[in-house]
Amino acid sequence: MEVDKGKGEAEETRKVAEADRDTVTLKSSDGKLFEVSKEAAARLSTVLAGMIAGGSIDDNGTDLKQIGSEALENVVDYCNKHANSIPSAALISSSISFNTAPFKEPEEWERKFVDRLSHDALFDLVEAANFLGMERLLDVTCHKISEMMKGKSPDQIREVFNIKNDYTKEELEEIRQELAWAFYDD
Amino acid sequence: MADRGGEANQHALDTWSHQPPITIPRVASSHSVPQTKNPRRLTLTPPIPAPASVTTMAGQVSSTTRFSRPRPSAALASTSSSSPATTPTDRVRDPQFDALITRVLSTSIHGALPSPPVSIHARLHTLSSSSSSFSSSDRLSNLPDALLRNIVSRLPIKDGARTAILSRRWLPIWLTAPLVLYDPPLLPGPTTSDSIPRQVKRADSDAVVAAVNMDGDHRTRVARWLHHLAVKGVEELFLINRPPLHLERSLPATFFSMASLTRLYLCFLRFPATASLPRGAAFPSLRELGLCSVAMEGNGDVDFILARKPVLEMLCFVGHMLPLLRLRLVSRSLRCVQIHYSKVKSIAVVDAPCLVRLIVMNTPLEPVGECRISIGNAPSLQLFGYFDPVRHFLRVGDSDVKSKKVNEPAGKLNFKFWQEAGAIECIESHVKLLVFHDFRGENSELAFLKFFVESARVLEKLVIVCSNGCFSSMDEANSRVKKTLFAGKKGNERCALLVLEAPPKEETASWAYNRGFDFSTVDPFTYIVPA
Repeated sequence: MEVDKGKGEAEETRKVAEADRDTVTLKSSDGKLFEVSKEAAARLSTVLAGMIAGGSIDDNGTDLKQIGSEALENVVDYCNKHANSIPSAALISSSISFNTAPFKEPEEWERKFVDRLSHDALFDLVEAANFLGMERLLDVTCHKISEMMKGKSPDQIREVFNIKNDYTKEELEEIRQELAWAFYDD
Repeated sequence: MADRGGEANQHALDTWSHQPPITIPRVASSHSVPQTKNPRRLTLTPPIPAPASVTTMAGQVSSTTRFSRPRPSAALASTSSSSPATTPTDRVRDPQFDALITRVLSTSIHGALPSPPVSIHARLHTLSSSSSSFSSSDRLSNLPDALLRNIVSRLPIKDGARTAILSRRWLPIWLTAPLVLYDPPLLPGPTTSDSIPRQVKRADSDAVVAAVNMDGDHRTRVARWLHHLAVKGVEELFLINRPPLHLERSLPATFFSMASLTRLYLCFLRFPATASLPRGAAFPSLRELGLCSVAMEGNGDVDFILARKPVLEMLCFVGHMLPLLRLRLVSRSLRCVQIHYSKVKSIAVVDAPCLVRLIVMNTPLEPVGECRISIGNAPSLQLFGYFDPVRHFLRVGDSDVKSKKVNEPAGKLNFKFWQEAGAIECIESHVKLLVFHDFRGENSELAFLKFFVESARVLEKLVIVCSNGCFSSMDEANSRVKKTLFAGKKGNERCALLVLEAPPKEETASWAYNRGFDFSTVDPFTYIVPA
C-alpha cells in the first residue's frame, strides 16, 4: 500500500483544477474553503453522499458550521489520501454488505495520519467524522483512542483524558467487586 | 393413472412443488389434510438476509441503574481478514454442501442477528465549537455513547471492563458496549457468502456474536471468552465455528456456565456428549435456541437439550445432519419449532400444549427416506407446513394421513383425478388462503386449482405466483386463470384472486426462518407473497 503520497496529492490537485464538477467545496465554521474529490467524499461520508445525491451541495462552499477549519482540513486531507492510496478498497459503507470483521485494522498510513494529531485535533477529527458519517475514519480514530487507553490503569486513563472521577468511595468499591475478574490476571 | 409419461409426468409433479403450507385449523380433530406434492430440489441462491427491523440505538442507560440487568453487551468476534493459516477451504468441496452452508448462514444466522453494535448513523450530540481552547476538558467522555461503545469494544475485555470505574459516565457504556472478541487469526477472509454481517447487535440488548475457530490453542481462548461472557451475564449468544466444516470441534464445558442466556444460536459445532456434563448444566432462562449444523452424539442429547430449558419457546434446527434427527417434543413452553434443511427421521409432538407452529422445510440433501411426523397432544397447533407427502408420513392423533395415491408418479393429474380423490374436509371447510407458487399455466395445475376453488367453501383468497418466463404478460396469465377457474357455475364468488409475477430469484429462496418465530405475524407464510 506504499504510495507516493506527494505525487498523489499533486494529481488530486490537478484533477481539481481541471474539472471543477468533480469536486465539492466545503466551508468550515470559520469560513475557510476546502475542495475534496466528489467521488471520495461520496464514498467515505454517508452525509456528504446524501448531500451530493440530494443536490444540496453549494458550489460556493457547502456550509459545515459544526466543523472547524483544522478538523475539516484533516477530513479533506484524509479523503484525498484515501482516494489515492486505496483506490479499490471495498470499504464503501453499505448497509447490506457483509463484513467479516466488525472493525477493520487501520492501514499503516492511516495510523500515521492520526498519530501526528494533537489530543484536541484528534477529538475534533472524531467529532467531524461522526458528524459526516465517515465510518472508516471513525474506525481509524476510535482505534487510535482505544490504543491510548489500552493497558492503562483507570487512574492513568483519567489523567490522559482529564476524566473526573465522580463516584463515591462506596460506589467505586461496589463496582470493583462486581468487576473483580477484570482486575486480576488470568 | 398408471400411465408413465416419463419426463412429462415428472414435470407435472414438479410444478406442484412449492405448495403452500397447510394451515391446520384450531380444531385439533380435523384429521384429513390435503396433500401437497413432490418436493423439488430447492434452488439455492445466495443469501440476502432480510434486514432486521430493529434499528434504534439504545438510549443511554442511566448511570443510576447500575447493576440492574439487562446487562452488558455483546460481542462480535472476529477479526481481520487476511490470515492464511485459517483457510483450509480450498480443499475440494461439494458445491451442494457449500450451498447448504450458505443457506444455513443466510436463513438462520444472518436472519437472526440483531442490529448493529455501533451505528454509523449515530447523531452527533455536542460539538465543541472550536478546538484548542478545550484542552483541559474531558473531551473523551463528551463523545456520544455510540462512539464510546465503539472505543470500549476495541479494548481487550479486561481493559474494557475496567473503564466502568472511570466515572459514572462510563459504567453504562461498559454495560452496553459490544464485546469484540477480537482475534485476527480466527476467521478466513471475507468470502461474501459465509461471512458475518456487520449487523451484529441490538443496541439495547447484549448479544454476542462470536465467530470462533476452535482449532488447537484457539480452543482455550474461546473457553476463556465464554467464561468472561458468562461472568458478564450475556443474554444473547451466536456462536459460529469457523471454518464451518470442522464439526469435530466440540463446545468447551465453560459454555454451560452461561446461565443468563435467553437466546442462543450454535453453528457448525459438535455438542459435547451430554452424559459427561455436570448435572447442573442447564439454561434456565433460554427462550430461543437455534442449532445450525450442530453435530451430536446421539438423539439422547437432543432430549437432554430440550429437557433442561424450562422456558424455551422457540426451537430451530437448520442444516442438521448428524445424527438423523429423532425429535420428541415434550415441553410446556415451546411455541414454535422449525426444522429446515435437516435430515430428519421422525418428529413426535408428544405433549406440547403451547405449540402453535411446526414448520418443516425440505432438505436439499439426498433423501433419507421416510420421515414420520406424529402429532399427539398439541391443542394449540395452528400452523404446520410444508407437508411433503412423498417423504412425510403424518399421524395426527390416532389417524394416519395417507398420501399414497399422490406419491406415485400419477400420470395426468386432471380434474377428474381430483374429483375422484374425494372430499377433503380441511379444504372444504377450513382453508381460507391458498398460495400457489411457481404457476406455469399447465393443465394439471389448472385442474388442481379448479378443484380447489370449487370445493373450498370458505376460501377467501387465492394467490397465484407465476413462474418466470411462462407467460408473455401478466394479462395473459390473468385471463387464463380466470377463464378456467371461475367459468364453471360452481365457481366460488367470494374468493378474491390475485395473480402475481414471480419475485426475483433471490427472494423466492429466502425464507428467513425468523419469520416463523415472529408471532406478531398471524401467518408467517404470507411474507412470501409480495405485497
